[in-house]
Amino acid sequence: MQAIDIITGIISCLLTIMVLSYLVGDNPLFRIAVYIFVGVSAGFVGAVAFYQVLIPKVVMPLINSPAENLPMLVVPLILGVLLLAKAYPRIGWLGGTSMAFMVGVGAAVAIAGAIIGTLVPQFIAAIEPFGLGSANGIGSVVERLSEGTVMLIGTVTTLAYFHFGVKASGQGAGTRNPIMRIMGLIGQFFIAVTFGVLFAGAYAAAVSALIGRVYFIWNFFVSFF
Amino acid sequence: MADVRCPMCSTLNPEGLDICQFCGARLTPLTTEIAAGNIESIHPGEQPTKKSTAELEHALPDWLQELRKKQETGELQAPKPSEVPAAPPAIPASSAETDEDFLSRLAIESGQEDTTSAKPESTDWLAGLSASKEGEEDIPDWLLGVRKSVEEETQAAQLSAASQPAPDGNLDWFKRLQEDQKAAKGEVSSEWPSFYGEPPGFGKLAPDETPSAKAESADWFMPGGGEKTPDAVEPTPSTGVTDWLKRLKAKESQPAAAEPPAPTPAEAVPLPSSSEEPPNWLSFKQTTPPATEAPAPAAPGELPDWLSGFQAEQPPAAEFPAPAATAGPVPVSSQALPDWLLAAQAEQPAASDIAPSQPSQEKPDWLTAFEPDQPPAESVPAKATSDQGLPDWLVAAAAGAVAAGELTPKEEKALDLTGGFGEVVASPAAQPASQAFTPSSETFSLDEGVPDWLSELPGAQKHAGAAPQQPVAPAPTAAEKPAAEKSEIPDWLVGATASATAAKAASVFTEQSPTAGEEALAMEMPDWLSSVKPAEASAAALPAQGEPGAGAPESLTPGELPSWVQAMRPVEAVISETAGDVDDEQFIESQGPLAGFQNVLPFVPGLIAIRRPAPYSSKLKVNTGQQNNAALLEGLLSIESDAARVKPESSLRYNRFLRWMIAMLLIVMVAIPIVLGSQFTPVNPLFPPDLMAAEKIITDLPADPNVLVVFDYEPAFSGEMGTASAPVLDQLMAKGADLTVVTSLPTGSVQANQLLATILRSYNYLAGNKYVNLGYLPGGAAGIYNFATNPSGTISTDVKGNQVWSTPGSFLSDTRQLSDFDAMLILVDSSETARVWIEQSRLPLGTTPLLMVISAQAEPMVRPYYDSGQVQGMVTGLAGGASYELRTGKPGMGRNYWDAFAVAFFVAEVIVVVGGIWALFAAWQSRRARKEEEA
Repeated sequence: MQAIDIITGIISCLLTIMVLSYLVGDNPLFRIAVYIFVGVSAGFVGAVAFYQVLIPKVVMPLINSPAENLPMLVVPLILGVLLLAKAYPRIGWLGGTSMAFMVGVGAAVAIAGAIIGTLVPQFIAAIEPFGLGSANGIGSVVERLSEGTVMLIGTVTTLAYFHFGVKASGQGAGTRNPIMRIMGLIGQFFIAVTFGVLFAGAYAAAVSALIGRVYFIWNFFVSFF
Repeated sequence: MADVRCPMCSTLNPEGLDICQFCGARLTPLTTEIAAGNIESIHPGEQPTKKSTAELEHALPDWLQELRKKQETGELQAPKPSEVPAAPPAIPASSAETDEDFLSRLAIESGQEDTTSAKPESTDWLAGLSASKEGEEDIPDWLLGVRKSVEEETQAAQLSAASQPAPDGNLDWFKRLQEDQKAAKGEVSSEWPSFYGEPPGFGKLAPDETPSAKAESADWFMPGGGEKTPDAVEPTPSTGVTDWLKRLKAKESQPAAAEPPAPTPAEAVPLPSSSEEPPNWLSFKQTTPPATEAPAPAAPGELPDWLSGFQAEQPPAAEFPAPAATAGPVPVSSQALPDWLLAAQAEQPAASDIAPSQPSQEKPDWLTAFEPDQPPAESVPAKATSDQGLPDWLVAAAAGAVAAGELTPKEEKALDLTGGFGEVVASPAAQPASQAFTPSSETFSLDEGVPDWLSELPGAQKHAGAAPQQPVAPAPTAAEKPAAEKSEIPDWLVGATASATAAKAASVFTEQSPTAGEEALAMEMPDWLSSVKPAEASAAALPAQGEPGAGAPESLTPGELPSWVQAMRPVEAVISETAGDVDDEQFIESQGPLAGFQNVLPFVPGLIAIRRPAPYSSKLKVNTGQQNNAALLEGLLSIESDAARVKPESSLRYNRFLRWMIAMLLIVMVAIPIVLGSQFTPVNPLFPPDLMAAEKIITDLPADPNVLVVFDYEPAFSGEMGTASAPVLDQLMAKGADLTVVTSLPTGSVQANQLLATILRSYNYLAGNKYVNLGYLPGGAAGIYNFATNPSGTISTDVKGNQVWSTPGSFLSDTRQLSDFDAMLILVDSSETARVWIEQSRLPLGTTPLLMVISAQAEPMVRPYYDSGQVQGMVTGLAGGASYELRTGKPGMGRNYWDAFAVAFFVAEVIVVVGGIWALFAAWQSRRARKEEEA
């Protein structure tokens, strides 16, 4: 084992223990570990941004690219420089244009991607189980119908649960439609199952991380022997 | 019944009370009509206007009402001579003036004004209520009846020769006799009343001014009195005499009418003035006419009405004895005359020069009252009238004196003369009467004739030793004085003592004070007036004799009141209340400029705001319902103020020990399999379809496929993601795939280098040869979209700056777009990142399969993309990696972690179950405790 591996291994073990010290509550060790992670991450991100973004995408093209490509490089450069003005409130308005450009482009891309990549495909996927044409055999049909029915019920009832519309009544308090109320209860069940699955996934991910950390520590200690 | 709220103290009083039982204020205002606007108010400074007083009839004093009733029922007989105050013979104006005095005082004392007593000569405040001829419709019926009868009888009386004594002039004529005599002498009377002030012009009387004018003016004369316009003092005959006086006159005129007609006044005595000319008494402010100019006789038609009305009563003046100018002064014994009479005689200049000649033989009938020895034939006609004209006390005194033989006929004449002299000089034709004190053949001694009661007078005692030797005007003949006047003595005088009689006499002969006058009028006065003792009156009158002004009334006379106060007086008359109520309302001002005035500020619109704010009760009147509501509100407010009940602390609290125990349990249970290196837990052989699809796609890839691997997971998930992605990457490397690594996270490239370094050791992969780390892809979704649409244009170099897209021999040299990759593998720990990559790269990938190795926490959100076909294969978490290793037959890290992972899940499941059971038990225990508490 090299020295660097021992040092990195010791640091890793200490930081792991320091983070696990949160079991006893918020303590300086946990805070130190958090601050170290934040600082290292920020520094690492800055370094990555400088070395993997600015240099290859701004500096190098300005140096190596021909003159005719300069206008295409100056515009992003100017917008990037103006974005730095956001760090100073007195001249923060200079970065407004860059922020608007970024937000606008990001919103457009996100909306377009959501529609094209999520809504339409998921809508098609939701009705696809009811397309018996692609089913192979009775078992497949039953399975698809069952799967489709569950998905349909789950989707509809979950949407019904988040329907907060009420019917006006004379007593001042609105009355919820009984059908919607029942569907909301069913949707609540699907939501609970979903949260259970998510919790299970989060627990699985956390346990996996714990296992990895325990395994790393154990292997580190084993490596010394 | 509603209570009546006191306007002063706002307290509630039972209805029906007139006076507040708390503060004594009147509850029902006296000025109801005024407040209602039915009667126009009189403002200060305005001249009172004529008012209809017919409706005030009920406000008359009781004695007047009784008289009226008697008159209406016919019970009222002609007043007996003894009941009627004897007046000096026949000075109508003077009698009228005395009537006015009497009535004025009566009105003042009774708190009301009799319209019939109002005279033009009266003060202005009476003028407003005086009923003039043109206002007869406002006069009460009973008064109209009296007036008519009086007028009719007056016409008849004018024809009678009998002199009509003034009913109540017995007091004033004595006093005025003194004053006028002194005035005739040109000096100011030492007994000038103080309230008269400086007697301007009194000593400057013109010779033609008759004593009557002076006497008449004596009452009204006061500072400013001369400013009265003639119109203001325009007399009316009907208003100059009270009803009882009229009735008296009427009764008296009846026998007189039977007598032979007496000479007309025009024939008998020169009238002092005509109706066109201002009265002589107004000459105070006029240029003094020549002294020698005698008043021209005026025709009856030229006289004012009020004078003409009394002309019938003036014959006695015509019958006056001849003045001294013609008959010569009659020497009067100094013992018989009082000092003031002597002084008046001494200071009388040649009064005979200015006095019209009067036949000395003509004596007024009243002068004959004390001549019992006169032949009855001469006195019979006048007796009846004289008896009525003399006051009974005088009659009684004279009668007593005569009966006792103390008086000689001359003394009787002198006594009578003193009694009538005042009226003589007070009458318009009294100038000759003033001459009656000149020496004449009919002299008399007052010292001898003065009765004992008269002798008690200081003046009389003084003159007892110093009787002036002034001639006295001839006394009227005894024939004109009826002897019957001495026969009747009023009841009240019967029981009177000698001292009281003397006091009365003294008050007569001394300066007259209002008290003395009222006392003398007690015979006609109501009970309250008659209750005044003569001794008291004399006591009040005595100082008035000695010192001028000493006996003046302390209270201000009406004439001295300011004009605005006088203007307000009529308002009292319109108060529709009884006299008793008015008396109740009388009070004396104690503050302000009106301090000392009595009842000068009645309720008058303008003085008191008519519109008072609506009285509101200070007591809260609530009914039962309101009380209940108030109690409810009070209860609600008290509840709000009470401290809220603190809920019992929940039994589920943050248990640090439990937390530690669970943590230690997990760590120990995870560490045990790792430490032990056991693989006792088998991996699930039932591979999920997404895993099998991923493995199949990878397996179906051509040799040396060009695979784009996206490392988008955080270092914290490196244990899970490394374990899950290692078997997939191992399979790809086994197939000789060229890996192009890219990441949208700054730490992604480091994770990629670490993972590839671990895996690539087995496959001898060299950087830039079999794999390219393009590094960090900035821009988020936009950067991903840009990379998906133009990979070479977005990231042209690897992390080391080497051109990977255009470098010859590079596996990326032929790759221009995303679909040029044989497969795309996304290693992602977040569903959001996975969604972005799926959304942005699905279309650019085309038919290129998209495989995903995701964290277990992202599976619920990413699986729909697999189900929708957007993701062709998917390996999820540690379990997926372990399964994938099992599927590929190459155990790896997944299998090493699997026991620990399985134990951790088992512990978690146990903890969940135990926790669930504990929660149910706790809930049951809590419910039981609650039931016990409720029980």
